[in-house]
Amino acid sequence: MIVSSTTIWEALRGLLLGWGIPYAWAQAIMLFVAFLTVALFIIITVLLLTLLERRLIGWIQLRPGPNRVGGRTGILQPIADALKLLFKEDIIPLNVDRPSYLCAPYVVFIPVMLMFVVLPFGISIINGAYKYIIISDLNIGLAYIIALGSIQVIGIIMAGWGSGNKYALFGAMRSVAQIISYEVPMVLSLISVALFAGSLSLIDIVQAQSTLWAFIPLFPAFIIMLITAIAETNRCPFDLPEAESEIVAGFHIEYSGMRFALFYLAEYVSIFVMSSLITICFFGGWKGPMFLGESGLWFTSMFWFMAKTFFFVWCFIWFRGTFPRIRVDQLMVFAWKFLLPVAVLQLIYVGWAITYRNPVFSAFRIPSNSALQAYKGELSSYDYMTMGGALKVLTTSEQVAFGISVIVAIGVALFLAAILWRTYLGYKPSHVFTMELAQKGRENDD
Amino acid sequence: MTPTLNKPDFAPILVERIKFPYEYDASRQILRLDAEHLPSLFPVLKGDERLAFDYLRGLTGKEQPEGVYHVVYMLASISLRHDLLVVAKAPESMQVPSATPYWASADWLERETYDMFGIVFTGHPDLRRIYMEETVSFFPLRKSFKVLQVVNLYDLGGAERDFAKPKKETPKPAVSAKDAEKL
Amino acid sequence: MNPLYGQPDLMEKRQDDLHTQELTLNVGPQHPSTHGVLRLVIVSDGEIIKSVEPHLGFLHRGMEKNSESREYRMLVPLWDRADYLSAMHMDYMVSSAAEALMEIEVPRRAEYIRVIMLELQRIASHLFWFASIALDSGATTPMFYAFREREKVIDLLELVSGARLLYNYIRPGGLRNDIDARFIENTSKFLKTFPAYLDECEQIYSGNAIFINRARKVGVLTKEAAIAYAASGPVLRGSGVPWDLRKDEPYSVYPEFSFDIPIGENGDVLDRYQVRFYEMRMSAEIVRQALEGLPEGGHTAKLPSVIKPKAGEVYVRQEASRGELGCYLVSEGGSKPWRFHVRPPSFVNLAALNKMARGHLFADLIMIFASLDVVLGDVDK
Repeated sequence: MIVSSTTIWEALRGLLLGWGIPYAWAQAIMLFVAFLTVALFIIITVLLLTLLERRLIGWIQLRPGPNRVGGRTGILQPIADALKLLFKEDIIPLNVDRPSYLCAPYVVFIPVMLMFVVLPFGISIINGAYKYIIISDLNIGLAYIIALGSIQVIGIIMAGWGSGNKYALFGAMRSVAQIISYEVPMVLSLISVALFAGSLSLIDIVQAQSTLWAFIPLFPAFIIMLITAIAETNRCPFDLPEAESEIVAGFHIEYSGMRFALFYLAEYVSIFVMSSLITICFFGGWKGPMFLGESGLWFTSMFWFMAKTFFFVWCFIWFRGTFPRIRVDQLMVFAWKFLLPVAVLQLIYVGWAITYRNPVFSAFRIPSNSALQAYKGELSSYDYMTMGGALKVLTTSEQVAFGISVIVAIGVALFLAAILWRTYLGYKPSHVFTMELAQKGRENDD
Repeated sequence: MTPTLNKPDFAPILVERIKFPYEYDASRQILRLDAEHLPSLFPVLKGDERLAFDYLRGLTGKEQPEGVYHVVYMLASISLRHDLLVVAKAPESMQVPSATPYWASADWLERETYDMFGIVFTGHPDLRRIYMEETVSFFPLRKSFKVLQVVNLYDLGGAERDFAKPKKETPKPAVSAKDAEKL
Repeated sequence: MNPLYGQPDLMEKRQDDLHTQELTLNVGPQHPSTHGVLRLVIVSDGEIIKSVEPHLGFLHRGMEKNSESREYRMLVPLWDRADYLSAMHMDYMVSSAAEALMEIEVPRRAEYIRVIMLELQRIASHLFWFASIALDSGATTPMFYAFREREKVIDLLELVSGARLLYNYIRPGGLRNDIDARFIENTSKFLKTFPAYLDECEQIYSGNAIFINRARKVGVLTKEAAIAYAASGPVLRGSGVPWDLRKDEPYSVYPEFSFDIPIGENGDVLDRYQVRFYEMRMSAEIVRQALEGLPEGGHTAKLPSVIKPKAGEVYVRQEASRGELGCYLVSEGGSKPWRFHVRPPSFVNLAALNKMARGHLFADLIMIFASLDVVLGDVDK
């Protein structure tokens, strides 16, 4: 059952139409206002993110971050950075491939901006009807985001090739290899989310988590998504393309000034987008206790969405401050030999559970027996059920399957508890060091 | 405090194994000989079980009376915990047999000695300067190189003179004659 | 030419891999890391390194030649600047070389204080090494943790000598000045909290699986190769050779202290890392024992204004933070040394880099080089 996505911009359009403006103009104004809002939001978010990262990393490193520009919080530091980058000299080396070199920053930056089109920030009630705070709820929202992520790869290749620099090409190739290797497990884990929710539309994915947030049944997918999101954005511990590629800085070494600022902004915007994607897919988007009631629904939903997103942004920053870098061959081995099989197994498991009408894995929306027998598969004949009600509807084999999934869930929970318990006890390196002690206080041999 | 480890008297072992003239000071553990006998000394030092010098910890040169060069080997035995200082007098031709077949650490240490003194180690796989550039024409640690009397590149002599201006040069006036008229 | 000394040749295992063009790359004299000016010419098959050749001499200052025209007391501040991160060890090297030919009696109190300074310097140097190896591998926070501790140690050394990095404190005959009660109190306070802070540094980095995967079985130097290349210090002990000059060729008052020597097992980066950490703890232990047993007495022997050792030659060595720091002194009885040669630990350890790095990737080369703990001032003199 796809909820028809009515957005607040359509409410705005309705308002404009109510004032008598012709439809085309109302549509244009609506889109323009939406675009402006998103652009402002991105600029403010990115500026705050750069400052947040520097302050948080500073605190992890036992020092304050920037705390001079604009008072003790350093709130005007990002503006100072932006001004600096704007005023820098725009150096274009002589032997660049001009079309590639000049277009690459845009090819990297624009898809990330476009991803904002389908992110639902919250929900509101206008004139008694639910309106979603989203620009446009595409039916294929999830696939749209994944496709845009792939376009970024082309931008990186253009930057690396167009720079006319051997080291930039190496860095770009490494970055591309990393991104496309980690895209495969990411896509597989997002597919399991789509299976869970029954649709690729992001609003449907959030609404499907009304009873249970998706990270509980899809926990391996959540972990895989977290890891691959860090790899996609070239963040530590996967920041091999950015640092230490033969001691030079990777694919954006030949860029200066505003062009470099675009790469830099693209990275921070994609951190935000990936965090919000994790929130939407696994943590219920804007869902949370609505403490302001119906009239304040827009505020509380946006508050929860931003709070959860910034939790994951903080995770990204936290990992950067803590982990060393992974070596390039270990990175590829990890993606192809560990993450991919786990993601595939996870997908098979979710698919098996949904086929057997496991209520938890189907987000408590189970096709009724009649619809199943008729094999119409019509989405309108899905019923939202409670756990008890669902168990009554299932056939015996499906109940057995449910039991097996409960046992698997208990096993996974015990495994996680064991890991956490061991971490609590204090990590000791597991391999054996024979610190052979030479004879204590060995006497002089004279 | 002087190091206190095993200080065995190697004299009987040396008498037994070594046939060429040498001087051995047991109290200070210094062995002096001529460099041409080194190829027959090294296998004894390294191979004999009572000596077992497997650790060449240092190698350098010195020019004790001026013009007479020695190569100094600082050897130690990790298993038997004793050490020895071998001072070998280099011949006039400044060619000394290399210790690289016996100890791998001699590689860079001999390169440094060559760089500083100009002692050529025959049998070294890759004898070139290690600290200074290849084109440098002098050997700095020789007593004949008086570093305090070097004022500019010209004094160094040799290939450096190509880079130097002649020593006696009338300095150019700060303001040329033509400009001086305008002032 | 040189046999392999049991060193595993990783290139043989990679014979069946895909081969690409042979590249000659230059890791130039300027490093983002703090090791100094060193040029590495790397011949590599794609990412796999075939040979690493260090080109030295960018920091060569002619210290040995300069030493021949300076009196013995003037040598102390000169050689401070060789291994600038272990200046106390260099001071002690000059002093012990002069004292070995002078045959004077250094007061016991001075020797105890010397040991305290040497061990504190070892702690400071190893903390700096820890910061640089963490930074080279990509983790930015251990550096700040290590430097926080190092600030405390350097403050202690500044109390006695007045300088933070180049002390000119241990002089022939004893020390420049005695320590006072404030130093003893501050050091005791520092020693109480230091093991806990070291645990904190270890917690953030040592157990990290990413670091362990990058350090285990990387840069293996076998026992025979380590002895043949005359590696010393943590490099030698990490390869499994139980040789520490403080125990095997004891100098100063070290026989009066009881401490352990950590020995590694495989000779890889992880073993050298663990050896250095354990050494830091042992150094704190030695300082604690020295402070407890500090005798009364003078802080220096009475020496003439111009030191004139007897004629002769001597090779003195000590266990500096990087390895065996040796000094070969030839004196002709004059006020200036006739020949003053220093055997730098970093120089001799660096010779083994080629053997250790062959067959590894670039990222491994950075880790191996960081685990060697090379200071270019020490290498180039």
